[in-house]
Amino acid sequence: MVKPWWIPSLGRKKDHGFSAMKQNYIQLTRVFLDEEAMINKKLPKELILRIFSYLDVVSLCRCAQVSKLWNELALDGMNWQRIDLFDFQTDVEGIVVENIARRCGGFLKTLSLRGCQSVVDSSLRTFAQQCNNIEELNLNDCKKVTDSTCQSLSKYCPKLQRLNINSCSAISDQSLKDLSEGCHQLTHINISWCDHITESGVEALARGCRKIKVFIAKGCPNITDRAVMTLAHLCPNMEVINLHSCSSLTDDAVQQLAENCLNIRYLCLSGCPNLTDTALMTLAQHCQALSTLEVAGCSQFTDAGFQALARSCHLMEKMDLEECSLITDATIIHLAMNCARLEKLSLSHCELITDEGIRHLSTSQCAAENLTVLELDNCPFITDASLDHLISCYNLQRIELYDCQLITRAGIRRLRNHLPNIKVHAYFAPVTPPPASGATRQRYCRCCVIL
Amino acid sequence: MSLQEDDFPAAEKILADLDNVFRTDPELEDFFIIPVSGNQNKSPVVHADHSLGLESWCVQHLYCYVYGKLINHKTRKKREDPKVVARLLRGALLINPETAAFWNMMKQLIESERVGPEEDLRFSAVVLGFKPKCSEVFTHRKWVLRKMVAQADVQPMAVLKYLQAELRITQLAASKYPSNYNAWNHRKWVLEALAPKGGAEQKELLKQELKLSHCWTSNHVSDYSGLQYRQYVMQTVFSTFRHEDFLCRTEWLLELPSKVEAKCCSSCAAASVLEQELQMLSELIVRYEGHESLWYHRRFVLHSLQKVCVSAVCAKLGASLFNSVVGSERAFASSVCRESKLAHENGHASRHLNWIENVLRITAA
Repeated sequence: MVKPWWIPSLGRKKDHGFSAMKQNYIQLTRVFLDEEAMINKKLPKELILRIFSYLDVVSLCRCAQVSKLWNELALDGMNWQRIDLFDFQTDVEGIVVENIARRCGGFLKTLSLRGCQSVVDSSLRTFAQQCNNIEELNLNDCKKVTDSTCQSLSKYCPKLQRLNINSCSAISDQSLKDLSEGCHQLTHINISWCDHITESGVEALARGCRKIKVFIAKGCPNITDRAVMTLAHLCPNMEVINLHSCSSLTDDAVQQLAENCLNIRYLCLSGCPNLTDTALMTLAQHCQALSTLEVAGCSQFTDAGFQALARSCHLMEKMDLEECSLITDATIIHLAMNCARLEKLSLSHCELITDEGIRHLSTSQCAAENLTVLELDNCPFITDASLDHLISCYNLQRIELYDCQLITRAGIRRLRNHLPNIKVHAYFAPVTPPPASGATRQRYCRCCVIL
Repeated sequence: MSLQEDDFPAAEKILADLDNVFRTDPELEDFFIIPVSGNQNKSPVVHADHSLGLESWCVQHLYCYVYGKLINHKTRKKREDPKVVARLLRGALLINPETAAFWNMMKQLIESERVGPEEDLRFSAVVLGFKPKCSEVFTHRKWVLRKMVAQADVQPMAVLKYLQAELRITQLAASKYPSNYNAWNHRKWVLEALAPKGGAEQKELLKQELKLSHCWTSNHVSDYSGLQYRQYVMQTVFSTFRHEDFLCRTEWLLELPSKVEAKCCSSCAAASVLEQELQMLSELIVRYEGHESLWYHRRFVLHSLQKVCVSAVCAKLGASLFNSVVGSERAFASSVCRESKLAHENGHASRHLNWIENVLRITAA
């Protein structure tokens, strides 16, 4: 085996003293001057730049410390189009954001300050002034951000397309009004958990930003039917809409949404308990493109609604029906018959589900190829028989069985025998693997090697 | 590390169940680890009667999971959201409250206002139910209380509420573990940091504490730490005697005859309290044989009495009173020596006699 030159050969005497060390050092420094380094000789600058463009912030900063050439290339604006500072969180204060803004200027397109709780409005104002080409900005969890930031964005960043102000609880309707005036290119907006936002803000936003495709507003209880209806009328290109826990919504809002936004593919109405089967039926009538539907906690839904939905939405891929406790095996049978693309299905807390429904699911079109995740936790009638049926779902990756008291370890073991890659989530304690048998790797110290 | 997440997928569910119990039951008091042999496909979290239980089968796996995640977060290998960190910390601290590093992480969350201080106090009270002698919990509580009291807009009623809560909790902790030094020490700190200074409220509080420690001593005769607390309370009471003009000092006394008139002056009051203490101790020593703690408390009382008599200005106190007290001491100790059937009780009594001769008399002179 060829030994690299920097590992000293064993035959050398131990006490060479200072001169040999110095020789080694000189050898090292001789090789690693910029122009002589192999990497810089073989690769043109453009390629090195291209390689750097794949690196994250930490690696780029480390590369910038290597040599003068690399410093120039690493800190080139081209590499700083997308920045994510999540791993630094509380360490990121205003001055960092301002430095980045100055360094990257017009190059910066994507910036994520998720989790950086110390960032304040004044820094973001500087940032907005310097980086006018920003397209995507994530301010998730930046608790100190207020309406003033959105005002700055509206004034200076007309190209903003995606904005995430999740959990910035100081934000109010004024922000949305400002954004509607300045950022007409907005396509993705996330205002989850900004509980001061009401219908007037949403309506203003809809009026100004007609291109909105993705609207995420989890946990905004003041968003009413009227807000959703205005949004539906003015932004018909809507594809993704998440209204998790907007608890005052009724069937009327869903009807308007369905009638106007025919391209909807992702809809989340979890935590809106006032909805009934009527909502499902209007969705079935108009939104055949629907592929993800989350209605956890909509406990008034029954088999009738899901039957209508399954009959027309054949592209359905992911469904979350947690706590829709009125549904029975009939729903599963309809889904199995009509939705060949079904990948993820959650039936947690659907207490009327039995093995019969699962049997139908496992013999359906989606089972063999597409079904990857199935959640059956807290379904008390599910037994090992269901697990035996699911053997035919070759792509099943995860199954949840918490609190299914009739499931046994033996049943899970049988399932695992047929589907070795499956993750079965249950309350059974993991079995500690037996200690590794066979010859352990021999380890000996270097002096023993010599001897 | 991805391997770790696959090892115990139920961990997140169990942590969520634990959090749910804390959220839905504001009067939660206790936590136990329930020893079970096998395990069913059922949640290991048990909640009944304001007590939280966790079945033993999951403890090791859960702890390995939360420990790994928290250490990764702390060493910045994989950052987590603050809500997730708070949930992981609660799981880790319930199982192993002696980890100072995790309590410090909790302090950081409180500083950045991710976790409310009151919510945290409720949580650490439950942890104390599980491990009543854990010094890290008490230290953490001190930090949280200091922070809450130092706020600019704190109401005096609120401080009183915290005070009462701490007194109740330390008493519970002291009853669960014999001679719980940490609990009594914490109680002492509470009196110093949270109690009202001066005035009728302080008097009420001290009276209440004196009475409580009297009951406690009668029920827990061998609780050294409890006796030490009683000594602290008595010393605080005597220092208030000096500063204030109590018209009716007899309020402090137990229902026992005393040689000294309490109303005369502060030193007399102190002396009569101490005298009554001696009488109470004599009763207890005779009733419960063989407890060294009572004899040591006796030494404290005699020592304090000596100090009072020596420094008193009042004519009624002085060397004659003290000598008579010492005389009766000798008589008492000798009688115990004669009458006691236990060998080591004899030892206690004779050592007490020695002490009187060699230590007390010398310092008097």
